[in-house]
Amino acid sequence: MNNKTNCFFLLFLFFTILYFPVPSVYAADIDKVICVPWQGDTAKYHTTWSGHSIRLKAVVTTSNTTQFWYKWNFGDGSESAVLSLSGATKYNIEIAHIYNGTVGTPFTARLIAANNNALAASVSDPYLIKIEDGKLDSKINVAIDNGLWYLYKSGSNASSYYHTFDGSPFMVWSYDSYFASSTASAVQAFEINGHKETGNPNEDPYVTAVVQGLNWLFNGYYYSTSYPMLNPVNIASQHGDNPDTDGNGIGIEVRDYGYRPVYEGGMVMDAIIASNTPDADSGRDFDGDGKNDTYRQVVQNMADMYAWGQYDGAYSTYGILGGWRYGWGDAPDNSACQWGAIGMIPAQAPPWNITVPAWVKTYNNNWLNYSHYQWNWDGTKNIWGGFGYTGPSWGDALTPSGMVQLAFAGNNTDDPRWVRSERWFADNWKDVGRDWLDQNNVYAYYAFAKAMRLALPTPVATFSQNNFDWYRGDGITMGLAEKIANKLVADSSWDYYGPNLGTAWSVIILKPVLFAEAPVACFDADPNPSYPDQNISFDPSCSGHSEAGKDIGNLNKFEWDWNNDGVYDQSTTSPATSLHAFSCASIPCTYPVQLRVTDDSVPARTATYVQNILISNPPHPPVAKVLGPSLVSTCGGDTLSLDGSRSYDPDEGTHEAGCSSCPDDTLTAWAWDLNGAPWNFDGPTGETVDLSSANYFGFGSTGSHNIGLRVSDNTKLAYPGSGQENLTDEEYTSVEVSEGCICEVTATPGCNYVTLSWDNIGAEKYVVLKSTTSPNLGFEDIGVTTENSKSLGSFVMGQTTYYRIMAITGQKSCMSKAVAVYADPQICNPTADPNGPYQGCIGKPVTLDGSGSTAQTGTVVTWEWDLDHDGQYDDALGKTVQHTWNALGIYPIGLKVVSSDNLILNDEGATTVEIKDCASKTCDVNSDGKININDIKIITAARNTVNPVLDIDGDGTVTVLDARKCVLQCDNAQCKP
Amino acid sequence: MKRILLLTVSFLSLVASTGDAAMLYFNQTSMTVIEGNSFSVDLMVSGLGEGQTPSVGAFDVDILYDASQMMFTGYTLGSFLGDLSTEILDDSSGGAGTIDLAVVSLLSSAELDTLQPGTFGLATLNFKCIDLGVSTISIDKNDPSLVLGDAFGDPLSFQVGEGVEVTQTPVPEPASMLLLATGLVVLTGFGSRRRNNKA
Repeated sequence: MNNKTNCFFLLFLFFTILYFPVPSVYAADIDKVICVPWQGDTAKYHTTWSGHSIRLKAVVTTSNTTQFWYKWNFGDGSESAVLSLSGATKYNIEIAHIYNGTVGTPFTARLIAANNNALAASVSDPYLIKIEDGKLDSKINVAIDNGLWYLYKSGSNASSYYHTFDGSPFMVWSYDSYFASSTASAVQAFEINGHKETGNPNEDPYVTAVVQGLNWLFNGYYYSTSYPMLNPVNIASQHGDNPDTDGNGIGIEVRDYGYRPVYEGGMVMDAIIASNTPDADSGRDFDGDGKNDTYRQVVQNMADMYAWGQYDGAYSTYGILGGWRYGWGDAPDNSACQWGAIGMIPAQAPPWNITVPAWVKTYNNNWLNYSHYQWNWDGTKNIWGGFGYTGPSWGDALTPSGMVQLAFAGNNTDDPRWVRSERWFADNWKDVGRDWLDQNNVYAYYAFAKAMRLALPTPVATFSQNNFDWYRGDGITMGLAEKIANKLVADSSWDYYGPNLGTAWSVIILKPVLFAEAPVACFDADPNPSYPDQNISFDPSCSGHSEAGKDIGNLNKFEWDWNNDGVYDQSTTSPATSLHAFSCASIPCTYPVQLRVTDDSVPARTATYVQNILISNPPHPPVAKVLGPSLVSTCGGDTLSLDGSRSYDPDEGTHEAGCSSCPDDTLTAWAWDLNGAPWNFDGPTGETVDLSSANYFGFGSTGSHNIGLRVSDNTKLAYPGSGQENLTDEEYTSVEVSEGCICEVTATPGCNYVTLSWDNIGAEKYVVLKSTTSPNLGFEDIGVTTENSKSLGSFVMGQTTYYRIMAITGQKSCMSKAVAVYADPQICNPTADPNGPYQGCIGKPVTLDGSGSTAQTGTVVTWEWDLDHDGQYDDALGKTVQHTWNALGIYPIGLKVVSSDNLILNDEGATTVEIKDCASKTCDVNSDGKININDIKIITAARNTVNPVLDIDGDGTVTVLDARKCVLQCDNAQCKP
Repeated sequence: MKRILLLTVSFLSLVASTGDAAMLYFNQTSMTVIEGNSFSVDLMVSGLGEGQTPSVGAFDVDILYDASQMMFTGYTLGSFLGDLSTEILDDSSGGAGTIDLAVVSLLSSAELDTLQPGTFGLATLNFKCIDLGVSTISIDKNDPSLVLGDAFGDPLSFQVGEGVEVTQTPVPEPASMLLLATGLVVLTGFGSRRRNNKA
């Protein structure tokens, strides 16, 4: 090797080391990086608010226990240091970070991990965050986010005392010597937040927790098989009542290590019910019939167990008291009793449809009659009520426990026991009387939330006594949601009967639905702040659903409470924008507006959202409106149109009172940011922006990219007295950039249809996307084909429609440019057929027949005739008309037909009418001076029509007889020419 | 043969019993056809003058048939309205289920009177059986254009006979063919033995 070669080799080695770091032989390869998705949906954003420190959360799995490296890219221009971990193959990774920005600002953080400290050849996963307003709904989201992460980290499979019958994986949450109820409540908290066992564990780490938690409940045991979580118990009829509704001879109890089957059973039933999979396999054959029991069968047998184990002693005039305590058949107490109710209430609802004997409810109701206590507390008619522990009394948790049982036993909220108990809460909520909310009794909170949400005939949202919203509060007095949210936002957990139970119950309370995923209520109000008596637009289209596979399309009621009085003032069945104006006698005024959405589940689930509307004097900030999300491909020639033209300034055309030199306030600038966070709006400017593929591919990659628009107004000049600079507003949306392919699509419109064709690139299938909005907005899937062309109906004439083709093979997809198709309605014109040419006689009516006219769409509705050749179709009207000409000649006539469907279309046709002197009727019908075979053919061909000229015998119709008569007049034999 | 003769006599008696008005009818009222075979029916006219007036100078008749069971394969006009090539004007056509026969004679009145017998065939209609079942070939009595004209182009009064009920049957069972084949084999063997015996 010479010096030159050596030099080259050393350079090669240098760059190789520089650009291709060699991983340590002790480093672990990255298996998976899974950021926790909000509500189990990788497209949903975690909530934060500007300036708040939130935790970003993820799970990393590695090939072995040696070291790996990672860092967080926060998506706002900042990153964490490169950190490393070792000693396990699964790591729960979290980091605190503060985001700043206006409401609606999105960020995409990313956890990046690799087997080397340069993070080369890394594996990463995104973590979506959006800045919200920092008010109650934001706090609730962050509290749930924190609480679930706490629970996830608390799950354990480390104890040598934990086992499953079949050795399958499990996860356990514990409290003292109890391992079922805390596991069940943790699992339920995950499930009702979109983390189901049916989810994707490669995208959502909580899915594994739920799968293994449920498995623990069905198949787990502690220490020895004598302490299974679930245990079959032989049951039989008692005093004539049969608790064994499925006739298999058993009930199922929660055995656990510590024995509190009544307490734990209801929580386990709820966790199973919240799975929403009644036909799933529990993995165990409890009743010994040789087949594993389904979830439904397990829940039925647990309900049978409660029926069998109910107290059955009679007392005084109350009859059999019913109810439950620590062990089966024990005399009841109102702490234990609620768990039977909370398990059996949802068990009876679809899709579980569990049978609970009526006598169980009857006896339970007897117990409630006995244990209810009422008293007159102020010497007037005001009566409070409650439920005691083992007899008539009241208690912070015992009273709501009794109220849950009232619902279980079928009593409505007009039951006097309920009315008195609810009144007690209304009068002792916070900072008054008992100051119930500040007792910090999570057990009581959970009992109370269950009672309110399961009340009959409908859940209680506000106390009937004072209209107080127990969940949200009223802006002055705190509600239960804020109480709990504050705790979990600050501490991520609540230690009450241990942090697992307390945190799980807290998370469950924060959701508006106890046993399933809830809908999500959300709305934008523009402008806000605004003027008095000026319409404000309320758009609920950001609402959705937290259950996988459901979205805003599953919401069928949107109710607005404009004045926060608990009465919904306006309702729509679709997410339509509503307008409402607020009077404000003394500016400023704040109006909390509440939206309640209801989904299509049975029973229906609801959710609420509140936003304050501020009525104030100008200047008001402008309103940025950007249309999106958008769709574009990398095909050359594809374009991305960004439209901010719907932005506006509520102070448009106004200026400071008394300032004659002040210009009017108005929008002055539209600044776009196409590069995502950090948001500096240094991109293109303008109300609308059209970008070629060369520009928008500055995004750098295919996939989803956040973009933003900031609009600025003229406040500084228009309202100098306000002392404010020009005001701004921002709005964000996203652009989905797809890899380009089959770039050119041909579209051929027809009447009410279009045929699309494209190059066949061998894809498994082609999805047709359609938009009536723009080349980039509003596309929806309307068809799939394996061919390279497709004809599509439902094609609206008279407007431009945009189509794109997405080619899909396996997990890969690519997309065409948009093709715009304007469908000229004239394509659908009817066809005017005036028939003819006609022949007629002077002075005799000629029948004109337009019945051969046809319509392509709808029907022909009018036939208008132009019989005087003046271009005006105003001489006769009708499918068949008659007209008389009084002079010889050949007259041009016209027919215009109009068809009607969703379009009014017309067509014109022309023919002639030849008028002859029929007084000297002749067989020389072709007027060539001869009568021969040519005339006979004309007559014969016109047989069975009305033609006075050819109707030789004058019987009204041309027939073969007219031809035969003319044969006799032919000039030559056999009518030869 | 006696049976056929009896049917013919009965049919002619029926025609004769309608008086002196002309009549349009088919030459048979029922027939059996094997699936896949062709068959034909004749459209007849009777009640004419037989060498004298009235004679037929033109007609326009629609024939109805079940296109799902039979296929119309063509027609041949009779020669009593004139030579087919030069002495008539034929505007007939056939469609699915309907045959429109429209013919005008180009002969003079005297020629027609001399030419035509009292009863003759106006046309022979050819069909092929395409499916099993029973259906009818008939004259469309409700056709408003149904007309039979005399040599002067005036309408003749006439009656319309019943249609032809056509029963379409399947081809013979293979067992019959097997029996025939067995017979042939026996005959062949017998002949062969006779030739051997001669040798």
